[in-house]
This record gives sequence, structure tokens and C-alpha cells, in this order.
Amino acid sequence: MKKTSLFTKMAAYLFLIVVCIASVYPFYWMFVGSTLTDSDIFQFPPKLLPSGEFMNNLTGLAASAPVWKGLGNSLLITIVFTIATLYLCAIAGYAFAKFEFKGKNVMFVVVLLTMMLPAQVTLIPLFKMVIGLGWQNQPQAVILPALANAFGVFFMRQNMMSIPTEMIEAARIDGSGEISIFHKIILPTTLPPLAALGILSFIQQWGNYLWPLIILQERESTTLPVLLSMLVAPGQVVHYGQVLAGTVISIVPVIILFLLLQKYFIAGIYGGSVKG
Amino acid sequence: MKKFSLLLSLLLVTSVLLVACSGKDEKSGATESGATIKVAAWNSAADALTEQIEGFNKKYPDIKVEILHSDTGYSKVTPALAAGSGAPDIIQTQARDFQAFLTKFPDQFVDLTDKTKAYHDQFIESSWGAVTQDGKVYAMPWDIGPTALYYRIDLFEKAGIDIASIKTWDDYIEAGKKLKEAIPETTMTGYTNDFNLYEIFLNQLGGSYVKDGKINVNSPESKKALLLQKKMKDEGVAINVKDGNGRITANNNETIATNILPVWYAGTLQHSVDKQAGKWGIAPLPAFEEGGNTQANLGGSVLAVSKQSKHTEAAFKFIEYVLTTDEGQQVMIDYGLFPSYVPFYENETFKENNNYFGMEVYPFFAGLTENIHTMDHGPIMLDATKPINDLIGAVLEGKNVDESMETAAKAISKTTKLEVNK
Repeated sequence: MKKTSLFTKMAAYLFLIVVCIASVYPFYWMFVGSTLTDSDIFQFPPKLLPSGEFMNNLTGLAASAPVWKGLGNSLLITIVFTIATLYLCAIAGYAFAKFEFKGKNVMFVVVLLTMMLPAQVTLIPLFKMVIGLGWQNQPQAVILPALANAFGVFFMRQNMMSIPTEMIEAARIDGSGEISIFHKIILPTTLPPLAALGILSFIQQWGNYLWPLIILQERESTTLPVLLSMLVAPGQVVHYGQVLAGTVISIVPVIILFLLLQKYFIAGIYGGSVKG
Repeated sequence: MKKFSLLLSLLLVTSVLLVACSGKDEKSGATESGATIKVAAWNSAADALTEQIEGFNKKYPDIKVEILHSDTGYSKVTPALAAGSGAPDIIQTQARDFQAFLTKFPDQFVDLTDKTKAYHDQFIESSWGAVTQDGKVYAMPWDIGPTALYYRIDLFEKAGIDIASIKTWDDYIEAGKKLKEAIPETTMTGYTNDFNLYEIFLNQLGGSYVKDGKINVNSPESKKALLLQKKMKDEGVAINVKDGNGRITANNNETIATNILPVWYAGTLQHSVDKQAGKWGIAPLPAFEEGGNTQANLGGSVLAVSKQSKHTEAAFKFIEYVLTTDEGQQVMIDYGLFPSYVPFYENETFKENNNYFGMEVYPFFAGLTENIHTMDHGPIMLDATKPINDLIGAVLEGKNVDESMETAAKAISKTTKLEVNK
């Protein structure tokens, strides 16, 4: 092994430190900003140390918008969506990866085609459908439409292709039924990609904005990002401290989830790239 | 084990179904007792309307009101209007966007001509323009944004500028140079990356975006408005503060000494620049030539009744209550919404002294409403934002004004299919 010179090492570290600060600083400032008063937020040079206004901002926020209800709605929608989407994508991906049936390729192409449709195109038909079902202001209006999404199915299929078919055949010979093969063999071996898809789905649904904004019209039924965005409007007094405090709350679940699943996440993302 | 996993998958499926079914039964009983009307409005406008419900229900106990908090980008109401179902009973739009709504969603708004006739003289004359199409009124004017010059009294004193001597925009630019000489780190004013300043100048000059149904951004008034902003920039008396947040920062740090903005900016200064209490004064806008018009409007919104509504009578009663009674307007003014309903200007709450500015702010602005020109925004404003911003950007960069105006007019014409005025 060649020994890297001290200079290149230092340059590399310096670069990494700069990149690190650049990516962490906005988050850091969000935390700091949530502890400042509104006029301190706009100070230049910006204040870099937290002050004691966080609880004030939070109570102010809770008074002007039902944030806790919004947080609850967001959690309910995101958790149910993530669990259900994982299960459905896994079972569909499994079918596409390991079963031979008539029209399989056509069906797979159809599933992939839904990925090519821009969301804006389906917005109004979907809206009419959901209104027709009477689901306005109800969580299933956000949970159901994107459940078995093409990306998830494709992602799980690619990962499941690398499971040796011999393993499944061995289970069949031993007398296991198809459903229990899926639950006892397939699901446990695909934990890393499931975790990766789980995080992706969670983040996607957690930050989902346009559709909840349109379909969850009551403040009591809508999600946290939508609530926060409504606090900002041109020509009106915006309490930025409160908005930042709300933003801090809104990223906590994502951070917790990421820390918990981090090791699976990295493994899962690359899972399908090399066939074993 | 097999049973367990079956059970687990069953549980999953049922949990999804349960969520799917929950909540349905909560809704069904609501329509039985009297009408329920839903109102879509944004931010503090929605908060103000929420506070109105109590007073409204004292007068009309049978009408239930629900306020839906929407967004200023209209993503919440446009799908419902396009789909023809699911729209709220009452919809708030910006005054300047309402004509575009009427054109994009024809037959979606209730004709209010007869109902509003009695109120015609009680509202600022210029506010009816935005809500009238072919002589018919489709919405009720809510608030307006009479515009003035907010200036730093202390900095003006330090630089030896007498606010009374600023009569025209040329005087204003000269004063700006004087200020820069005395206090080098402070510039006279700031502009944002939008067309606020352009629209203020255009309205002050009596210009319009659309004239006789044709695109009019290439008018002589438009050229004058563009050139004034360019001159301010070139002479170093106006800097780019990017957006509303940048403006707050600039005010807090004293990088700018004046703001050319409507009445609602008083609230922003009080709230977000609270450390400078007592240092701000408000004066009428300078005129383009001595003795010229010093009044302009920027912003304001309207309330319209959707044709999808099953309770149009009840909906209008709510609009009537919040906009044409002193009780209603009293709540609005608490939220900084300056009324276009004139009788309220005599109300005691309206005349209250403002401690931040040390003056009666609202009566001052009320005096800046009589000569505001009616401005024809036409049905283009939902599509014209980018071309107009590009036009201003091009002119400030030093591109040829006439050519830039033609380019913008053509771009707007392309999306709106309207002809361009020659």
C-alpha cells in the first residue's frame, strides 16, 4: 500500500470538514433559530448560540395552529402507510421475482409505466375519485392512493431476484406453504432492503405536501408540514421562531428512525446492484 | 408459527381497512340542523374569520361555519374548481387574481350583482374593479393595501433630510444620495425579486396590466414605472434585498432607511423590527411630477361564493356580516386587514393611536385611499408572474426597455391567448 502524503490527507480532511459544516449548518441554525425571538432571527451577523425562547415559540405555535394534532395525524398516516406499503411491495415484488405466470412481463411493464406518469396528471382524476368516495379530510385519502407504488415493487423485485431459488424449493419440498415461505424465509432475508424502502417511504410520506394540502382541508385533519406552511403568507406577520420550532419537531421522528435503521439503510440501497 | 404469521398479515389488512372506515360516521349528522358553510382562506385572514364565527352565530344561530385554512398558491381550491366538486362555499382570492379565476373557471362563481348593489357606495370605488366582469359582480372586496413611504426619522435627521421636501420621486432620489453620503452603510430603500414596486408605480401612474381586454405591459406607464426602478438602482439609492425576509434583515441592520409598501407592512415592522419602535415615520408616496398622484394600492383580497355551494344564501350572509358591519370589521382590523368598507373609517377602534409609530396609523392610510386608480389586472395574473419578473430583471440589467416589454407581452400572450396592445 502506498502511503498518502500528509498534505493530501490534510487537504482531504479539510475538504470533508468544509462539506460537513456546509451540510450541517442549516440544521444547526434551524435549532438555534427556534430558540430565538423573531427579531433576533433576522439579526446580521446571525446569532450562533441558542437562546431561551424555544418553549415560548412552541407555546405560541401550539396556540396558533393545532400542531400536536397535526403531529398525531402525520404519525398515524406515515406509520400505517409505511408498514402497509412495505408488506404490499414485498409481496408483489416477490411474485414478480420468483413466480412464473401468464402475462407477468406485461403486468410488470404496466406497473413500471405508472412510475412514468407525473403526479400532476393524476391529481384531478384522483381528487374526483377521493371526493366521490367521501374521503375528504380522512387519513385514508392520503394513505391509500400511493400504497403499492411502482418504485417499491420494482425495488423489492430487484432485491428478491438475488435470493437463491433453491432455498424456496427446499422449503417447498419440506412441505411449507407459499404464504409461510414468504413470511418465514423471504421477509427475514430481505430485511435490509425492507429497512431501506421503509426509510424512503417514511420520509416520502412524512414530507408529502401537495396531496395532503389539497385533500385534507380541515386544520384538525391535516398533517404537520401542511400546517407549518400555512403559517407563512406574504403580506402578513410571520412568526418565524414558531415556524422554526415546528420544523424542529417535525424532523425529530425522521432522525430517530434513521438512527435506528441506519445500518440496514446503507446495506439495502446497494442490495440489488450486485447479483449474488 | 404458521398461524401467527397468518394472524399478523390479517391484522395488517384489517388495520388498513379500519383506518379506511374510521371517521366516516362522525360526519353524517352535520347537515341535518341548518346549513354548514365552509370558507377557504389563508393565514391570518383565516384566523380573523375563525374569530368572526362567534359573533356571526349570535345573529344567525342556525348557520354553522367552518374555516378551512388554505395556502396562498391556491393549490387547495383549484383542483376542486377544475373538478367541479369538493369546493368550499366561500373562497378567498387575491384581488388581482380574481379575474383570472373567473376566466379559468367559468361558471364556478355565483353572480352577486343584486346582493351587493346596496353596498356599492360604501366600498372604496377602485376595489370593485377586480370583482366585476361584464358589468356583473362576482365577489365582495375585502381588504386593500393603500401604499406609503415608511422612513427612518432618526436616520433622515442625521443626514439632514427634511421629509416634507420630498415631493417627487426625483426629490426622493436626491435625498437618497444625500443619505448615502452622510451614512455610507445605509441605502435609501430596497426592492425585492418580485413586481411589488413595479405594480405600485404602475398603479400610481394609472396604468394597468390589461386594457380593453388586451395585454398592456408595453404601455407608456409601464415604461415609466420600469425606468424609475432602474434609475433608483443605477443611482445607488435602491438595493436588492431579495425577498420579504431579506427586507426584514435589511431593516433590522439599518442597511435600508425607507420602505415603499402598503399598510400591512406596519404590522411587519412592529413585529419583526420591534427594536426600532419610535424610529419610523410614515409619509405619502412622492409623486411622479409635482402635484401628481401620491396614492397607490398593492394587494388586498376578495371573498367569492362558489356555485358548487348548496347554501349560497347562508354563504352571502356570512360575507355580509364579516365585511359590511362594524362588528365584523373590528375583528379584521385586529388582524391588520385594512378595510375597503368606508363607514368603518369613522369607528373608534380604527382611530386608535399606534404606539410604535406614535400616530394614528389607520386614519392616515384611510386618507390615502380616495384617489387610488382602479387597476385592470385582467385575467392574466395567474400566468403573468414569471414574464413580469423577467421583464423587471431584464430592465434592471440594462437591456432595452421597449424590446423587453414586447418580449414580456408576447410571453404572456402565448399562455393566455390574449392579444397585445399596440
